[in-house]
Amino acid sequence: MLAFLNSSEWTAVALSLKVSVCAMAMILVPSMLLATWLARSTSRLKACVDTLIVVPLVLPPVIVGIGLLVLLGNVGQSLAFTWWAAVIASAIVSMPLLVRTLRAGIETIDPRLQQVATTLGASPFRVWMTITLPQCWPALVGGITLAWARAIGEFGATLIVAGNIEGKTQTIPLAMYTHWQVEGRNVWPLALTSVLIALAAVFVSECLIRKGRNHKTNAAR
Amino acid sequence: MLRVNLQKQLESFTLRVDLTLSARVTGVFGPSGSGKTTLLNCIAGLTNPKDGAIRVDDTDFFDSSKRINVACRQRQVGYVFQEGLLFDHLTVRQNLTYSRHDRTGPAFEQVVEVLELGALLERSARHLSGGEARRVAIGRAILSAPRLLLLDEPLTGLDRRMSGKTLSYIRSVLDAFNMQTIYVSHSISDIVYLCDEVVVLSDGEVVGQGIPTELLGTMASADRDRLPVLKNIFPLTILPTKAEEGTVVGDLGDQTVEVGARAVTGRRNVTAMVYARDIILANQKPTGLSARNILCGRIVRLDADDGRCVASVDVGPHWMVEITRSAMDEMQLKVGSDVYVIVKASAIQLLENSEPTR
Repeated sequence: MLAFLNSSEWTAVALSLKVSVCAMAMILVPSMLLATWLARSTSRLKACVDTLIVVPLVLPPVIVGIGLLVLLGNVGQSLAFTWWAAVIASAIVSMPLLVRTLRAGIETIDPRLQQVATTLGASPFRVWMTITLPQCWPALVGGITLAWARAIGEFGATLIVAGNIEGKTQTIPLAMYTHWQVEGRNVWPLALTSVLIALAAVFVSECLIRKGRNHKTNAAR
Repeated sequence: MLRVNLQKQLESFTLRVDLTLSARVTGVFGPSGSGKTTLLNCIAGLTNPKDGAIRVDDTDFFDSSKRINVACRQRQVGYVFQEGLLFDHLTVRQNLTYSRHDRTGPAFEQVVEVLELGALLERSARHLSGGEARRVAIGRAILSAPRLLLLDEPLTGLDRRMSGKTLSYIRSVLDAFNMQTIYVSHSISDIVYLCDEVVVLSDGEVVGQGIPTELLGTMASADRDRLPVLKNIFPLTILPTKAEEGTVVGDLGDQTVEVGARAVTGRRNVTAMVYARDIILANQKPTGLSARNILCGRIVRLDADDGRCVASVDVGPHWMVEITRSAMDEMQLKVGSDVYVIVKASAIQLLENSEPTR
C-alpha cells in the first residue's frame, strides 16, 4: 500500500489533509455565528454581509489568490508561500459553502423554539448548544462535508498564494497538476487517492448524520 | 401585581395598553390580530415596546424613561406558546427539567402528578398527542419557577374533547401552584371558567377590564355581529348513583343534574358543558316535562340589549342562559329573581375521558 504512492505524494496527501482540517477548524465557529446571524437578523447590513460572504464562491480562484497574496504581503510577509497561506486560501473559498448550508438549516428551525428556551432562562450559548445545534445537525455536518471537499480540492488560490513547493505547500491538486505537466509521471494513484478520501468523507458524514438522528430518537425514548 | 403601560407600533395599529393586573388569573380576550400575543411578548421580553414600563411586584422589567430592559432570560416568566412547542429532540423529562439549573420552584414530582405526566416521562416529545404536548409545555413553564405565567391560547388546534380535558388540567395547575397568570384566549367560556378578571383588547386598545361575567355585556353592546355562541363549562362530580340507562348523576354542589353519558365507570371529577341557548327558565316549577333536570336558581346578573338577553343564574356554578328580550319582559325577570332552570340530560356534555386530579 505504501508503494502505491511515493514519498512526495504521501507528503502531498498528508499536507492536503492537514490544510483542509485546519481550514475547517478556522472557519467553523465564525461560520456558525454568521449563519445564525444571517438566519435570524433583520438588520439592513444583512444583504451586504451575505454578498461579501458569497464573493469568494463566485470569483475566479486566481483572483482570490492574487487578492490574498496582496493582503498577506502587506500584513505579514512570512505567511505567503507557507502551508498556512494554503490554509487561509482554503478557508476563504470554502467558508461560503458552510455558511450557506448551515444558514438554510437554521432557517428551518421554528424561531419560537429558541424563544421558549430563552424564557426558560437559557443563555444564548446554551440555546445554541441545546436547541439550535441538535436541530440543525444534518445541515452542519453536510455543510462541513461540502466545505471540506472544496478545501481539499482547492487549486487556483492556493497556487497563487502558497505556491507549488514540493514537500512544503504542494497539496494533492497541485501535485497532480505537476505530474500531469511532466511526461512520464503517473497521475492516477493520486487521483484514486483523492476519490477514496472524498468517498470516505461522504461516508463519515452520513454516519454522523445518522448518529445524530439516532441520538435524537434514543434521547427521546 | 403586574403593571403594564406601553405603546408599540404594529403593522396596522398601535398597541396601547395601560393596565394594573392583580387578579390571580387574568384573561386577555380579543379577536385574532388584536395585539394579545404582542402584549405577552412584551411582558416576556421577546419584543420591546417603543415606550412605557412593565413592572412585576417591585421589579422593573422594562422602563423606557429609566433605560431599564431586563433580558428575557432573566425575567423568570413562564411562557406557554400556542401549539406547546416542545423540544422534540428531547424526552418529556428533559423538556420538563430544561430550566432547572439555578432556580428553585415547584417540586418536579408534584408537577408531574398534577399534570399526570408520570407515564410519559421517558417518551420522545415528538411522539406525544396534542393534548399531552400541551400538558408537558405547561409543566415545563411551571418548573421554571416563574414569577408570572403566560398562557397564549394553549388550546389552539385541539379538538373539542381534548380542549376540555386540557382546560381542566390548566385549572388544576392554577389551583395547585397559585402563581399570577395571564391567559390569552378568544373563547369567552374558557375565560369565564378559568379567570378571575378579564381584559378585552380590540385593535390594540383596551376596551374593557373587569370580571369575566361582565365581559358579555360589553361584547353585546360593542359588537353584536361578533357575539359568540355562549357555553357554560363547569366542574362536575359524578356520583356513584346510577340514574337510569344512558345517564349518570352529577353533583353541582347543592343540587344534582342528570347527564346523558355512556361508560363513565371509575370517573369521578369531570368537566361538563352546556350551551346557554339550550337552557330554559321558568317562574314556576313545571310538570309533565321530558327534560330530566329542573334546578332551582337565582338570577345574579342580567345583560340585555334590543334582541337578546343573557341571564347569569346561580345554580351552584353560575350558568349563562340565553333568552329573548320579550321573554325576559313577560317573565318580569330581574336580578335576585328565583327561577327554575330546565335542561335536558342530553344537552349537558362531558368534555373529557379521564379523571383529572383536583
